[in-house]
Amino acid sequence: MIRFENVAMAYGDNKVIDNLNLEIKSGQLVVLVGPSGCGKTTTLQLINRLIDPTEGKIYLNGVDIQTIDPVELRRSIGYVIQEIGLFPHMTIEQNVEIVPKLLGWSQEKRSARTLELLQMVGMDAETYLHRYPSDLSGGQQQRIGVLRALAVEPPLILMDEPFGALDPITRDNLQDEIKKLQKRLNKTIVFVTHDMDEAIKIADVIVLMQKGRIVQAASPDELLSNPKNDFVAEFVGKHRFYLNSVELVKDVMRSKVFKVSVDFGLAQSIALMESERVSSLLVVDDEDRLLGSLGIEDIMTKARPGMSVGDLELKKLPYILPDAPAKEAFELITEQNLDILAVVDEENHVLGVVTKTSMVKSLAQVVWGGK
Amino acid sequence: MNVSIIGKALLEHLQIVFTGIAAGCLVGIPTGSLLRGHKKVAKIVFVIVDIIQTVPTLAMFTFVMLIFGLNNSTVIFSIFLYSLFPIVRNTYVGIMGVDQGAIRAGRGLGMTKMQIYFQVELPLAFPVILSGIRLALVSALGIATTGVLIGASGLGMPIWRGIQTRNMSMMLSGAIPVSLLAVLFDVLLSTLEKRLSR
Ligand SMILES: Nc1ncnc2c1ncn2[C@@H]1O[C@H](COP(=O)(O)OP(=O)(O)OP(=O)(O)O)[C@@H](O)[C@H]1O
Ligand SMILES: [Mg+2]
Repeated sequence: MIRFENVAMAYGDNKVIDNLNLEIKSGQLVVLVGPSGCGKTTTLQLINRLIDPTEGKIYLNGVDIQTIDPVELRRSIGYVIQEIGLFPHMTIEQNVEIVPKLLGWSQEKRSARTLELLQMVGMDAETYLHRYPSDLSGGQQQRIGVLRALAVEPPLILMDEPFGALDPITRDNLQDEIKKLQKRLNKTIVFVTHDMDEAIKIADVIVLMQKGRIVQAASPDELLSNPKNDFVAEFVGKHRFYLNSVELVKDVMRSKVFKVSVDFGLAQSIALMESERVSSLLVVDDEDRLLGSLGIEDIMTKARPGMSVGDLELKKLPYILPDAPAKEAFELITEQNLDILAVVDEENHVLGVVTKTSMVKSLAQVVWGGK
Repeated sequence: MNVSIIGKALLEHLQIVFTGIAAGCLVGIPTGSLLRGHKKVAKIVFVIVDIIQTVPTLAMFTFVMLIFGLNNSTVIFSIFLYSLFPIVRNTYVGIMGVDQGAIRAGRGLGMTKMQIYFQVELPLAFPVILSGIRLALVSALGIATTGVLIGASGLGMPIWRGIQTRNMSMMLSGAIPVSLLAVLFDVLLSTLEKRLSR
C-alpha cells in the first residue's frame, strides 16, 4: 500500500528523516514508536504530503505521491493530528462533517454517518452534536478528532498519538475499537505513539525509530524476543521479560493435577486437600473431562455429612488449550487474578494446570536462562 | 427643534459613517490578511497607516478636499483612511493569532488554502477584527460630526448651528444622539465580540 524508498527530509541542515525504507502492506496496523523528536510525526506527514521529502520517493498503491494533487490526496486519507486540532468555532457536528462536506455528501448521508460515529465511541448525539469543542473534556475532544478522521471511511488512516489525553479505560476501549475496525473493514492504519504498551497491544508491525532512522521494524513478538540492539532492548524495557513467545502452555503447565470425580465424598476431598496442601481441586467426570473446581470455602460453608462432590455447586474454571502461547495464559491469570487455569485438550480432557508459580518459573528462566 | 430634521441628520450621519467604515473593511481586511507571512511588508504598511491616522481631522479634510471638494465624499474618504489603521492592524494580529493546530488540521483534512482562509482563519480571527471595526466606528462618529465644518451633512449640523445662534437646545439635539450612538455601538459590538470568542 505504502512504500518509502530511500526517503530523506531535512529542515535546512538538520536531517530529521534519514534514508527511510519501509513497506506498509494493505490491511496492516503499523505503529511508529520512538523517543520525542525522532521523526514520527514527520514520517506521517510525508505520507499525506503535509511535508515533501528532500530525497527519495513515496509510493501509494504504486503511484508516486508527488504526482498526486495534495488536496485530493489528503481528502482520501484519514488524519488524526497530534494536537487534536478541532475547530473551536464549529460544533461537534460541523467538525465531524468537514471531510464529508468537502467531498460533497448530501445532508442526510452526513447526518446518518455522524450519528453512527458518535454511537461508536459511546457519546450521545442529542447531548453533544451541537456543543462546541471547548465544552468537552480533553478525552472527548480526542475521540471527536478520531471520528473526524474516520468519517468517510478512508482506506488509509494516519493517527498521531490519538489517545494521549485519554484515561486508561477509555484508551483501552478505543484501542480495541480501532483494532476491530482495522480487522473488520480491512483498513490500513499508521499509528504514532510514545507508549510501548499501546504499540504491543495493537500493532501488526512495530517500527522503532531513532534520530530519523528505523532501528527495527518487526512484529511485536519478534521485537520482544529478538531485539536488534541495546537501544531496542532498552526501549522495549520491561516487556523484554515478557517472554519468549515461542513458549507454549504445554511447556509451562504443571501436569500433576489434584482432581476428584463427582462421586468422590466431601470428607475424602478434604483429606486430599490437606495432604497435598492445596485449597481447591479440579472436578472431572468419569472420562476425565473438566467440570469445574471446588474450593475449600465452598465445602466449609455448604457441606453436610455424607454429601459427595456432585452435590455442591461447582465453580466454573477458565481453561486454555495446550498449544496456545504461554504468554496468553499468563495474561489471563494476571488480568482476571486467577489462582489456577486449567489446560484441556479439544475434548475437554484435563491435561494440567497453569498457576502463578508456573509464571514465576517461566520468567526466572528468561531472566537467568537455562532450565 | 423639528424632530424630522434631527431624524434626517441622524440618517445622513449614519450613512456617512457606515460607507466610510464599509470601505475600510473592504480594503483593510484583505490587506491585513495578505500581510500574514510578510513581516517586512507588514512593518512598512503599519508605518503608513499609523502616519495617516495621526493627521489631525481638519488637516485631513483639507487634503482630501483637494480631490473630492466640499461635500460628504470628503468626510467619507477621511473616515475610510482613519479606519485603515485599526482594521488592518487587528486583522493582521487576529490572523497571526489563529491556532496553528487548527490550520494544520484544515490542511491535513484536505481543505484548500481558500477554504482554510474562509472557514478557519477568518472566523477564528473575527472577534479581534471586530474589535478593530468597533474602534474605527466609534471614532468615525466623531469625525463625521466635524464634517459640518466643510459643508457636510449629519448630526454636526444642529450642533454647529446651535453654537452660532447660542441655541442650547439645538446644540443638544445633535450632541445627545451622536453621543448615544457612540455608546450604543461600543456596547453592542463589544458584547458581540465576547460572544464570538470562545
Ligand atoms: N517546522 C520545523 N522546523 C524545523 N525543525 C522541525 C520542524 N518540525 C519538526 N522539526 C524537527 O524535526 C525533528 C522530528 O520532529 P517530529 O515532529 O517528526 O518528531 P516526533 O517523533 O513526532 O516527536 P514527538 O514524539 O515529540 O511528537 C525534531 O527534531 C524537530 O525538532
Ligand atoms: Mg510528533
